[in-house]
Amino acid sequence: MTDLKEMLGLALDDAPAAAHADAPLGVDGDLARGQRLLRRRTRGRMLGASAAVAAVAVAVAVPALTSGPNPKPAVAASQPATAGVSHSAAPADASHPAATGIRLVAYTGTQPPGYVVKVIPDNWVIQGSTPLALTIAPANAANKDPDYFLGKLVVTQESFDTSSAQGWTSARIPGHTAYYTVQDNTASLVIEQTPSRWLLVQAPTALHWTEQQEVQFGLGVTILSTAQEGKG
Amino acid sequence: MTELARDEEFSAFVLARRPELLRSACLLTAGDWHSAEDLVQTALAKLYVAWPRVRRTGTQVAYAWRILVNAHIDEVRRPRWRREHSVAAPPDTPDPGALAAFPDGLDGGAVRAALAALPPGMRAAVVLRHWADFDVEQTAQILGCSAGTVKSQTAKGIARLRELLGDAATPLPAANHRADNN
Repeated sequence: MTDLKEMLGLALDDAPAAAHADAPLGVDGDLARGQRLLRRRTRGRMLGASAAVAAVAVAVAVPALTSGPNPKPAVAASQPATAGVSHSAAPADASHPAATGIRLVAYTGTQPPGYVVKVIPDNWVIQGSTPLALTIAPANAANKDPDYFLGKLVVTQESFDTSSAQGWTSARIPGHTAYYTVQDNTASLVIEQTPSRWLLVQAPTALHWTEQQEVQFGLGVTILSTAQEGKG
Repeated sequence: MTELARDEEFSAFVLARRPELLRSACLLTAGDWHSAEDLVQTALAKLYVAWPRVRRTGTQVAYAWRILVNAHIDEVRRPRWRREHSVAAPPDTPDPGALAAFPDGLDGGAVRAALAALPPGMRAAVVLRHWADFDVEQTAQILGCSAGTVKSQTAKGIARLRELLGDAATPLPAANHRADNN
């Protein structure tokens, strides 16, 4: 032993960590954790954070969705969202020529706690819901963790400061204030429910949705009073 | 920078630096492998978030270390009930009081026990200076303190280790090793 560094090295020589530290590395876990943290912080920056936990009434959109004048099972994605949404198993937007992405279909499964979902992407499933988020993913998604959001469709309740909406564009939803943006492979949509409560939809661009398709999905989700506001 | 470029650069950094960060974290935690892994994961996740900024200034390594050390000190300062968990087996680190049982020998367990007896900031100063080979100024930046504090904490830490392990078992830094008066 010749110096202090060598003495410190002794602490590692027979420590369980020594073998782990020298094991072949897989960086995927670190990368995924970083991406997840970034996603959360980005969302938090954009939407701000509020300590209040409140019930939200996304249902303001639902009566229009369910009682619109057009009873057809399919709804054109670019039509006003108040035109109605199918509750049949038929594709919800198949008739619209601009609907380029994965089509929406009526959701007929068990409703997740805290949410009411009327439409989801075809061949996607609800992975789970917490008071903070509803997570929807491809049926064959490798990651089944509902708290892991990369590549998934996520709905949360947020506070939103419109002054922080730089880079967002106004989304066309009659009767609602809404903003839309695409950043880092994620298309985000916020729809005002009350002056301080917003519904946030984060959709992966892999869905190839138009803005109106995402709007149609967002208006088909109701967050019940058990949901909590997300924070970044 | 693009997301792809960020991921590639970050992955390369992890491949190159993770083993050393983990070993150092293991020293910071006095041999607690699980806490060390948690610290490294926390540090790397935060580094990924800050990547575009720190790569511009070329401070990725220092930033990762700063997060690592701060996360460790924060963890230690938390109320004990939040740090204690039920485990299937006793912890690897022996109680510092058990050092009396090893008066003539020096092995990894004894060194870990001695490290565990140091306050976290003092332990970090020793590890940064004499394991990670940061100079006084770099260590001060990482710890967020003055160079004078680094010198005093390092000196006290080494003295305490020597006291715990015995002069014969704890050698002084080699004559050509960097002294803390620089």
